[in-house]
Amino acid sequence: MALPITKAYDRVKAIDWNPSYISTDEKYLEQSRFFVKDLKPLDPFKTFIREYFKMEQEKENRHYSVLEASSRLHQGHAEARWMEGMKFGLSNFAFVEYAAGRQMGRMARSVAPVELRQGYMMQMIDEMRHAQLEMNNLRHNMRTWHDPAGYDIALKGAGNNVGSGMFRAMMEDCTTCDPIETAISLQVFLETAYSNVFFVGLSSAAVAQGDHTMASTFLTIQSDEARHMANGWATLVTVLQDDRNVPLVQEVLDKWSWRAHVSFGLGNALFQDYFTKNRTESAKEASLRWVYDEFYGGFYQKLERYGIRPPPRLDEQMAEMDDLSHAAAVYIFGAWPFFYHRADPMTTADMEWFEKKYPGWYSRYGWFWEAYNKCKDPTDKTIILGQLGGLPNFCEVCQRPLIFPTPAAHSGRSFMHGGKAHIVCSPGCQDIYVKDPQHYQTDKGFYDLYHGKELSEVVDHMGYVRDDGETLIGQPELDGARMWTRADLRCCDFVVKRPPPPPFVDEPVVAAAPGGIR
Amino acid sequence: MSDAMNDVTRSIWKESHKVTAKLINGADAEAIVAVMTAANPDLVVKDFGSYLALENERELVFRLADIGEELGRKFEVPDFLTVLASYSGQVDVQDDAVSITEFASG
Ligand SMILES: [Fe+2]
Ligand SMILES: [Fe+2]
Repeated sequence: MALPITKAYDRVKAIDWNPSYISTDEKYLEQSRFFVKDLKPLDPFKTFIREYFKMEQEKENRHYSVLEASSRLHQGHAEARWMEGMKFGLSNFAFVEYAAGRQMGRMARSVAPVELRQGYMMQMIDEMRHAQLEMNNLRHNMRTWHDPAGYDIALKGAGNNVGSGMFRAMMEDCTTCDPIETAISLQVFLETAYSNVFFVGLSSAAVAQGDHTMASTFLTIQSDEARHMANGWATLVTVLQDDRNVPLVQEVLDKWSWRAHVSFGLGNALFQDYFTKNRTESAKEASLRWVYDEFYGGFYQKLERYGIRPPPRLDEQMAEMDDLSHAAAVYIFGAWPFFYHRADPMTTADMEWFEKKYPGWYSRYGWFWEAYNKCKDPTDKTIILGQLGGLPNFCEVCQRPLIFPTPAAHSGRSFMHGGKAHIVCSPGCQDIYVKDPQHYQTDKGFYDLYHGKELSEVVDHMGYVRDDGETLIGQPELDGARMWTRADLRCCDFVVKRPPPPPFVDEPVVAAAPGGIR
Repeated sequence: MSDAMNDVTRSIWKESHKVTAKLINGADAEAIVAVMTAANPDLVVKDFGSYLALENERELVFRLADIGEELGRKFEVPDFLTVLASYSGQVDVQDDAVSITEFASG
């Protein structure tokens, strides 16, 4: 480049113009409730489109040569627990990235300043790249892993299994909220606080499981997130220049602190603790380092000078880290026929590790694994789901099953709003619901579709059956003496039933937020 | 700091001056670490296998010409951003360097 970056950047910025053929209202289809006029934005990365594509091409070249070498050299010796777990784990991400791309297109259109818009537009292209990288990784695994079943239906599965709703609801929430809230929810919480634990932290776990292509996918994605984190910070400090925005920002921070914890935070914890065989660090350790130390301590705390307070449930979130992955595991292992991977139950070595990393683990979760290990063989005609009393209710806000913080003492509750009964997983989600009820109107849920139906019928309808039309894709262990079939499920005599609602609470939830949302 | 804060929140709600960069492991990352270690006596480098974490107090300044010299080829901002997986602190891209500093006090 002939000009130095800083000079060229100013020159390019000056090219921005206001079109004469369309009014401002027509151009900016929707308005933010934040005050964004006359603010001076930052763009720390000052990236130009030509350099951007050169850089992305180099990233692609490096990454796809890893995939190519891996296929050529048959590096298919990764840990089965991980490779099977990623049938579910990775299936969630293509949707998430694609939704993030849609969000950036919307923000580029509705948030005016050119410095921010430039960053959003490159991020939009990044997110399309990420969705493709993940779809390519699914395809790579389908071609190279010895049991491709599950990888072949991964994208469809992410659309209808009973776990991915958490991630879909999370992304749809940040797609449909105020455009500035989108920046804070996606770029600050999901990309700065949580995607690091996943894409960077879990990349070293992937390597420890022998899965180098996944590690490469994770890291090449996160190298774009570096710019996205800066987009988030730039948007945040730009809007905080206007004091009237402080209460609006606080409200969004309060919401997303909880909202990200119950979705992305939960996924991270589950994948790290229950899909790894060769242990690196525990999910709790990783989260405390990345989310609580680096993000809340090193990033969020810096907002205090703008008058921002810590989120109200920080202590509750941190306390939940003792149980988050374990409760999620009871659910996902307990509901194995509703997923499309072979579950690998915890061994004595795993249990010893858990007891060391989470003292008291056995007394809280040992019962589940003892019971699980008695229900693996189809000839016994017992299914763990039956032993657990069926599936739980789901939260109308975050779509988590009602088993948190612990299955034995969950914080699920029913409450009346707008003349109707609603179910949420926690007081945190109830607060979110009450502030913005129309945002969480539910469409047909799992029980509306399947209540009263026999298990093998449901699994068939969901599409989780192998090519022979009989053998299930999901299995309760890696290599059983024989695989479970639909006929085995019928022998278990299990009918899906909507559980009774959790207890009603009528205490008032938190007062309306300052600034008044919608 | 608010008085209403409980102990757990207080324990993480503390002033930290640490800034970090996480680099995708490989030849470029090793050269960057060599240059940064020479220039920053207190730099802490942690090897997580797939990535290297560099930690320093207050700032990390990556001078591109020095890294290029170590590698024996031209090394520009896009080359650096290709291996920067993540960071904590405030990034700023300048003409001849990329810096990560603690968030400016306001
Ligand atoms: Fe992304
Ligand atoms: Fe919830």
